[in-house]
Amino acid sequence: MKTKNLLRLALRELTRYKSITLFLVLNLTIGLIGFFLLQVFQQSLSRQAAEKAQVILGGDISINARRAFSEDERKTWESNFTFEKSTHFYSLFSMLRTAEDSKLVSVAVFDSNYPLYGQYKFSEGAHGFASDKPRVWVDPEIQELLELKMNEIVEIGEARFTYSGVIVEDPSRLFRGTGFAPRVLIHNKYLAATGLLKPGSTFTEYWSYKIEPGTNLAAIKSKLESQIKDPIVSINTTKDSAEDSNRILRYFTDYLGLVALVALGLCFLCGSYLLQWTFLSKKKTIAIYKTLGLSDEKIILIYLIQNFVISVSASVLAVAVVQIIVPFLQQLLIQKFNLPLELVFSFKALLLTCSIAVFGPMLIVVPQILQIINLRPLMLLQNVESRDYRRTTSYFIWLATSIILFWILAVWQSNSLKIASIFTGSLVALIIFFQMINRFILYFLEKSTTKFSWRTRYAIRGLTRKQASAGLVFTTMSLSTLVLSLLPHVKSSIINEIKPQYSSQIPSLFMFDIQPEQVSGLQKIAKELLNEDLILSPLVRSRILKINDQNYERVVPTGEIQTRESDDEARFRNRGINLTYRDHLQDSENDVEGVFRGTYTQKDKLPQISIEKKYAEKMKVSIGDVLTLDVQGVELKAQVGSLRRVRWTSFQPNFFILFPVGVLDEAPQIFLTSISAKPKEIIREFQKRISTQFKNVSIIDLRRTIENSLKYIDQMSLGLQFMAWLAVLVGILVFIVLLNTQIKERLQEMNLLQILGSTSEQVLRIVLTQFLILILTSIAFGVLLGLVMSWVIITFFFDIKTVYDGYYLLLLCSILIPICGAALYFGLKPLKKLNPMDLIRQI
Amino acid sequence: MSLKISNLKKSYRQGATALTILNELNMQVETSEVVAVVGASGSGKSTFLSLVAGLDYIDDGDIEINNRSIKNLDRQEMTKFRAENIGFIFQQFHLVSHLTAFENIALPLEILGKDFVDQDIMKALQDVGLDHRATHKPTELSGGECQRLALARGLITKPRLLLADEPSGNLDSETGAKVMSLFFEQVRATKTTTVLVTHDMDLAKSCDRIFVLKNGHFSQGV
Repeated sequence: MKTKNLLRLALRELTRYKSITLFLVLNLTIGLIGFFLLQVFQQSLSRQAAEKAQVILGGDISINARRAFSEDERKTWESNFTFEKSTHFYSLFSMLRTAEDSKLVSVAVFDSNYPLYGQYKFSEGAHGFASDKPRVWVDPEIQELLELKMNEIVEIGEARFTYSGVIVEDPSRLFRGTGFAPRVLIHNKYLAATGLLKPGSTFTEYWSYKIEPGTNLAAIKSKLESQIKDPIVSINTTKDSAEDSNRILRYFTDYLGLVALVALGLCFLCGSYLLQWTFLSKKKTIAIYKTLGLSDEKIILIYLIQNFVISVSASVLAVAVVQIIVPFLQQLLIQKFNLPLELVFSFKALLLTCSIAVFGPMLIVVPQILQIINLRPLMLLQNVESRDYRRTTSYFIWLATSIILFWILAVWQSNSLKIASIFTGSLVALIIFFQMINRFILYFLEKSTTKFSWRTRYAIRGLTRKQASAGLVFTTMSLSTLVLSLLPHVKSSIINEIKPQYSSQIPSLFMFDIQPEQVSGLQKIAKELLNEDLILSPLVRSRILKINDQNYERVVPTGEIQTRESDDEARFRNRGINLTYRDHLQDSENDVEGVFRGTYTQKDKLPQISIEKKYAEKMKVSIGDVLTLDVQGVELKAQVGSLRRVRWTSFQPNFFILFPVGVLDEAPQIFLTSISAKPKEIIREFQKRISTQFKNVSIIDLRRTIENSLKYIDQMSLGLQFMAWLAVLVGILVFIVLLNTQIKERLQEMNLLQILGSTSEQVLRIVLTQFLILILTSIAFGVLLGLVMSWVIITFFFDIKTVYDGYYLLLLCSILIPICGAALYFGLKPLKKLNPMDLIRQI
Repeated sequence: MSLKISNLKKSYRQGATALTILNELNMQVETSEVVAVVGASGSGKSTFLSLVAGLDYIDDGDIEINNRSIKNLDRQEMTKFRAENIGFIFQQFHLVSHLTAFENIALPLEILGKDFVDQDIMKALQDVGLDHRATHKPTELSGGECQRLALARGLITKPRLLLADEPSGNLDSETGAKVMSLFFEQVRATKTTTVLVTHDMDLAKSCDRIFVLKNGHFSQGV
């Protein structure tokens, strides 16, 4: 047979089985929409980050540390490469004060060469980057909050600056609003006058270089890394900048990707069932092809062509839908999420989606065709049940291959071996679990059928004896409901933990960079205005040199595949650690292993320190291990005496490493403190007094910060919810598909029931009972498992109290049940046109 | 008298024209009698069966089963009447695939709401030689076994009238012969009035009388 004829045959079959073809296309389209949207989002993000890498980094190569660099140090590293231009930059936190108010800001201190790349845009008359006098340019948020007027005098630290305008466009940040505090710009000529660079203050110093194009930046970086041993010093090239920018957003999209994979996985599961059903109903056709002399290869080709047509149609449809959605999404990102990301259809995203669309279903189709092809035509013409040849070795090989490929997809999507493995493992475990639960329910129902009327008995038998199809609906609906019901509980628990109006324990203000000589003055003001003694926590900067005499060195990427874990490990190691000392544990802490002894006595050979449990796990240290620390030039050994749990959401000054008193007391240190919840006016007055009297002290308005965080949580959960709803949509489609195929398959049976004496209403009620049992139990188990899993996540990952979102549950059920009800109503319509005469007329 | 058909008329519309299938059809079948209805393809055998089973509406004339006219029964009444009085055997067996042999036989009794014990079903299975297959599903049975099962199901409610639509049409000749032998044995043993629709003249000859359906009329044969 000529290819043209094969094509005609394939297309003819597709058009004859219109509804099945439509379901297959729709099913794949829904799965692809989520996946493609995410690809567009992720790749637009990467593209924008890559395009702006030089601008974001501030040069081709940048060296920074949360400490000051000496001139010798700088000259040494500069001897390693030639550069066209360099810029010196500082980033630190401070309060920006007006006569009435003050706000915490992130101060970006630039020099005359700044920026090496990119163009800033300022509001009219702003004299951007001018150094003629102490000027300050601010993010729009600060201008709005403090109602700044042009040329108004504001204070940063101990210096006075002229407000010169708003930073309209800041190319060094991909997105604004994700930082801890709004940014302001000042020239470094005026930094000294602020008095903010005091010993122990929190600041980061940057040196960025413009290097001749074509220079091997990786080689320079590698040279510098081998020369600069201090892991606190971070060396970045434009490549790192592209990968590192907006890490949080990337983590978020990684998780979003996993939820999209649930939808895609469900859609393949549904497609698999539908194809199996189609092939079984087509087996006579296949037998006829075979008896007419069509070779196995050509029969396979017919179905591969059909599969290709379905995949291409679904891809086109998905791309078209995304094309329609994207402009709205673009608007939404800018207006609601403050993300000026230009969403573009990249060829890579398109290729990836189409590949998934073509090869994914192929994974399902080929084993199904092979199963049928391998049978003799006679068996195909006879009514051989699918179970007779389903569980072959090749079936299990195919299953294992599919799971492995899905896992690879999950690794690629989440950039994490650990998360992808947990995700794939959980998904497979959940599918097995739901299948088992379904079997258990059906077994239980079957056993208790004697208690019911014949109709219910018959309905239940229809489910128990067709476990594969009942299991599919149960699994897909339960799984999608689970995904959908999981997130809101996690969200509500986090909100309950940190929302000020729910948690009175959350302080109003958090203050840092308090110098030792400022402590008594601060206490005096606190006593006067707040009528309380502040609990000040000392902060001593350090870095870990050795663990059990083994060097704790900088992690240099080896060029292997970078996962989130290796990324985290590198970042974790290459940073300093803040220490504190106390003679007791705070309310937010408790020992989980060993006992923290608050005082160091000469009896102890080494100071016994307490480490936060998860931090200890990351560092791979346990009780008895010895840490060698560099405390601002002084080497200090300490032994791990206890591991403790810290409730971080208490927003108290919490530390990873806690020393007993008597060790660090004389070390250079600054102090932190928090101010308990007090009426707004008192807090305002207190903040004003502190910012005027102690100009270097930074004050975080915790409640405002929390409100901002809640906004991000809301925005992120909205994205996740969207993907979860796609999964549910697939679940509902599975339900409709199954309803449709089951009704078609069972029309004859229903006709028979009528001939045997049951009324059409009874027949309708039988089918209704079957699907109601399925849908209600699957939604109930999905919701129930959602409650259990959210408890597990909230308790073990977030370590907070679980607060269930009952309102959302009600909303979820009140949306899902009517949708399924409507699907049932329309799906059962063919039953109203039953004609028992068909049984007699049938040949 | 178990079945009396008087001046039965049935026509269907095909576009603008009315196609008469059955015209002034008459038939009388005595209690316990086994009759055959034969006819060429398209002669109206299926229409005849549908009307006798009360699955389609009569245009004119009447059908009485056990001296009760089914002409004026509404849908609900007809369904009940059919369940109580008429048994069926189909060419394609039409067994419920997910039910076991035992459950398939019990189904008509369950629908009727008749009390029964397991022994009743086992006896019916035994009568058709399938007692050892009670827990098997139709997909696990051969064609002959399926038809025997269908026979047992058709007779389980002890119907006044058994309608059999080409019962051996889907079986090979050897199996068909065996099944039909059992069929006649059973309907005669239970004294069930039977109308067997077939195109197999040899099979028809095993019946008490033969009605040949041609041009909408019956012409009685042997």
